[in-house]
Amino acid sequence: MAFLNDQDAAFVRKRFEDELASDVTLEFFTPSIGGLTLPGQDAEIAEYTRKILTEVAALSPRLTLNVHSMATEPEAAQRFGIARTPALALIGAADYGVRFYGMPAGYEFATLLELILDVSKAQPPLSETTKATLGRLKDEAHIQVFVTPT
Amino acid sequence: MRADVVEASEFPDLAEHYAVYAVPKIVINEATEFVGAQPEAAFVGYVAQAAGVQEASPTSE
Repeated sequence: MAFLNDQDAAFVRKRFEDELASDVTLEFFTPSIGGLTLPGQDAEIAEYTRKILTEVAALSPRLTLNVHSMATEPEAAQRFGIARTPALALIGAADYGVRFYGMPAGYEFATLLELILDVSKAQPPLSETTKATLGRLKDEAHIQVFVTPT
Repeated sequence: MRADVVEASEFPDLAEHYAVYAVPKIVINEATEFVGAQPEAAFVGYVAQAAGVQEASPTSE
């Protein structure tokens, strides 16, 4: 069963056509690929997430989905700073450090959509004052936003 | 800078660690946190509080 109905898929496709400013690669990490994991809720969530991302990536030629197994590709996980699954690294012209942990369903599907569009743009949608402040940060900033799908 | 969106219900250990009882909850560098949407200026104020800011110079990168 498709995650997106025809109407939603058309809406998302149109937004990608209009607003994607550059190619975006979705680096997705599952606990494993194939029959190597024990069945369970985590594996089901990861598989459902993979299906959502597969549908989304098919809606624009500027999107590429790479599916990684945490179990067999630990070096890839390390490269993107991923320690938990399911995890998605959204990579635009550069890696801006944007990650999504968990399944982007419900209201969080809109979050996924906005994240994809944001990382496709070279400039963040922030004021000059904000950018000036962020440019003068002394330390690394790690922002974690906790959400729920409803 | 790193920015993570985390589905709280799927990562209960993280939700417990950061005492997530309402969403959206934002945690910056372990010590700084707040709940709910904030205007951009307020949000960046929290980021500045968490990471520290060098004195203003005429030329920023």
